[in-house]
Amino acid sequence: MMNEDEVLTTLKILIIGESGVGKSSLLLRFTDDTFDPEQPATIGVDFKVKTLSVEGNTTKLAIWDTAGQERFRTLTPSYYRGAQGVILVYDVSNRKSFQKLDMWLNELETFSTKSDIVKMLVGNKIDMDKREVDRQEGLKFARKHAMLFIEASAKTKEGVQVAFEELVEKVIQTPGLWENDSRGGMSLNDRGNQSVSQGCGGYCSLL
Amino acid sequence: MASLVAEVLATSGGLEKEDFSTRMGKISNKVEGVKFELNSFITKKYADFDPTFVTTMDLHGKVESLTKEMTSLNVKIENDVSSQLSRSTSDFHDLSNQLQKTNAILLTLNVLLEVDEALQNFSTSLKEQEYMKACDLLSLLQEQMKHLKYGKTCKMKIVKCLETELRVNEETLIYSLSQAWTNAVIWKVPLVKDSHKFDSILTTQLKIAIGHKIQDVMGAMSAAKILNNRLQSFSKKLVDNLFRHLILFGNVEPKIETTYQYVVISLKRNGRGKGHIAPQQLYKYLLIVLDTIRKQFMNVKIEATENNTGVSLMKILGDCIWKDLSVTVINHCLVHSIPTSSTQLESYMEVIKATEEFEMKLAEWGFLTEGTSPLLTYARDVNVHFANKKCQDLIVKARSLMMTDLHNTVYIGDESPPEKLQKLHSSDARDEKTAIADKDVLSEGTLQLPKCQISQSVHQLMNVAYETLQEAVTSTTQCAIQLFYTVRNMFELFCDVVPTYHKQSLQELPQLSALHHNNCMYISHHLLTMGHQYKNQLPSPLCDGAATFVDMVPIFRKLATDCFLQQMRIQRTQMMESLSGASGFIQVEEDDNRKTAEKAIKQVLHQLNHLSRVWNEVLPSSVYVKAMSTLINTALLEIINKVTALEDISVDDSDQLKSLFTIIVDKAPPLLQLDISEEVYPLEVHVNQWRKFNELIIVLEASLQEIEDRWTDGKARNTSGIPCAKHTIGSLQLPCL
Repeated sequence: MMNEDEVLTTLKILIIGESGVGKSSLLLRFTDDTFDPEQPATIGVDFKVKTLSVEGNTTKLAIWDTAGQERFRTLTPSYYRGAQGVILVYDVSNRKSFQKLDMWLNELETFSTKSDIVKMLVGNKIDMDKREVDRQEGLKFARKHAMLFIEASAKTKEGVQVAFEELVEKVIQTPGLWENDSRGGMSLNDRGNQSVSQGCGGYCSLL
Repeated sequence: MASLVAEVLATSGGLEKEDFSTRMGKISNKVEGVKFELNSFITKKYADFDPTFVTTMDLHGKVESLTKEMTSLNVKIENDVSSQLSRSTSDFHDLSNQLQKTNAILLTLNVLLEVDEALQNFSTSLKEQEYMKACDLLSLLQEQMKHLKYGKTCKMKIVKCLETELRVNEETLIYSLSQAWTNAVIWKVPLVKDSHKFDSILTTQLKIAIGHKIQDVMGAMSAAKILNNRLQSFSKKLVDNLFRHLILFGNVEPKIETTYQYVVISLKRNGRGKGHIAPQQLYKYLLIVLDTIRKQFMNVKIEATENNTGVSLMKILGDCIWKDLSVTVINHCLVHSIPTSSTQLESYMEVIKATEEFEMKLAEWGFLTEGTSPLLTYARDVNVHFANKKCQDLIVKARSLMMTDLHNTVYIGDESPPEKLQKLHSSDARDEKTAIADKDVLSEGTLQLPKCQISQSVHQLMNVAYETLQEAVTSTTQCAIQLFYTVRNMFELFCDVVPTYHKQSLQELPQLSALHHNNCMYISHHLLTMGHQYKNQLPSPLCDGAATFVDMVPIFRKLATDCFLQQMRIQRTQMMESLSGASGFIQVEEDDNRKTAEKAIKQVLHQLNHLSRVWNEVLPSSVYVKAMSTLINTALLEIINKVTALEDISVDDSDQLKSLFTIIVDKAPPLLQLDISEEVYPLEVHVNQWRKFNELIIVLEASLQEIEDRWTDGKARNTSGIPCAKHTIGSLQLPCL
């Protein structure tokens, strides 16, 4: 058990991207180290928590995984609110998913509450034989939009852990992004304490 | 002398004359005479008396001595004789006792001899496996032991020993019988953990020894009163290991092999699939197995014992087996054989006949007592079971349809109405109202559901409902009523299950709430006419007006609108939340403020765009346009209210506001555009704040002169509220003037 005092902070990380690029698979590989080739489509929002240590700093990650399919999306500003990091995923074997990245960036721009939110571009499914998006292209796009970049495969584990670690490292290094986050939706600890002092059960305030 | 005195006295008178002397003389004479007489008398008397007295005294003495002698003799006799008498009596008693004892001992010894003989015979007969004889001997022993116990001999050591011996022998017999039974009836069954595996089931085997010995064993067991228990466990095994598999697995059949010692019953795979076995086939298999068992040892009558009136083994076995077997056959075979559609119902007669024959055969073998025929009773009630099963299946099917994902959709409302009406006409010529509607009084689309998407599952559900009603009209009265109410139950179930089961998705996903809205509207659309369509073909009381679904229409409509309106409210709240980020559009000339305001507007547009995409093809066009325009209107109203409430708008502010609002003007019109139709829905028509909003933009960019010109033209009068406009104009720091 991780002692609560040792946790440096709790970070809110989002995963976005077209449907079928492997957002949920990346998340499950990272949190549970599992992989399901038949992963069903996400409906609405999935949510996972994992503690991660980067360079001696222990952080608790609250990772929000959203539906890629438009019809399963529940578009609420609260989803983006207070997020410190975002993982933008595309499928290297599907050019269309790469072309749609602009649209996702646009949505992120529209809803994110922090201007310096750390973005990471992940080209998933590099285990696939039929590649449609070159590594260089991905890198170029990431540079253009000031994003971190990595290629990964949720199936073979390659790059998954690194992606999350680098993102968290960058968030922690970014001054003012996570300290004294009085307004952020993810100050779970603060809220939790608050609710205790109000004599309310720990869960209701989160809803 | 007295007479003398009397003479004297009597003559006294007369004698007076005579002289006393004479008289005296005379008297003296007389006295002398008396004296003499007396003396003589006394002397005489005395002389006589004395010897007599002596004699008497003598005699008396003699008598007394004799008496004494007699008394002593008496006493002596009494003492001697009575003591001798009692002694001899006791002697006699002793003797007779001795005789009794000797007799008893003789008897006991006899018994013991018999017992011993029996015991010896018993062990030899046991060795020679003559169980029936052993059993008889044992009962003889028991009888003898009873005698021994009733006598006073029970305290004898030997009795106790014998008792123990008897007990031992009883147990030995039972044990030997069990041994003999296990040797004669050999089960080979798969391990419990493997019992569900198909291959291991095939290893099940029952071996029964051939010959009369088995009958001997069974007779003995019956006499030893352990047969019933044995048969019970045998029959349980028979049901569990053979019959159950035959019933449950459609692809096994019994295999009978005869070796020189045994008959072997086992299971083997047959060509058929794994589905449920047909009752006829099952009966055949069961009869084969039962017949084999019967031929081996069952057709013997058990000897009548005191409380067992000579029933056949088959009967005992039947009693043990039948309850379990019939229940299993009903639950796992007959249930599945109940047809699922009424057309198959007639062919079910064959099953009923087969069942009847099966039970008759069993009764003939003594397996079944006459008059108990649960299978036949069940099969004959096929109509009831059919309806029950059908309805149950339907409800289960409906429920599972309701619980499947809503998001798989189909388009509906495409078919042209005349075609549909014709369909109605061909099936039911009495629909006069529709006929009138056909005579071009109403437009084609009046009774038509608009084109939209609904969940596939609901479409299937509706088909199930129609099929069920179609079946109801061709069914028997009881069945029809039951089916009709099942359809109603299905719809009632829908109202409870769907909003509960999909609660979260319906709230969170706008497309699903739209779909649910359509689903409910689609159902209510059909419910309007569904009752009429089948009413006249349904039995009473349904045809008298009870066959209706119209009462459910408002419920479904409410379900539809409630869900969708709730979604609309959620969306409105979200838009307001986004717009609140603009902080009332105060001082948008400043960079930060402009950015947040722009973000707010972009968020609203993004949200509306999203809704447009997920609703566009789902909702009927009219509902879509109405929903979108309502949301746009709400957003515009909020923006207009915020801007007109501003106290101070600088020139830069108004420039910025204008450019911000231009984004809306550019991006809003496509929101009302439907993907599937060319028809244009102008915002001016559908969004009543649209003109006002445009006017606001004009006011923001215009000079006061231009505004005045506009107003004198009367162009803006009907749109902007004058006080509002005045206020806004007042807050504008207009460049000229």
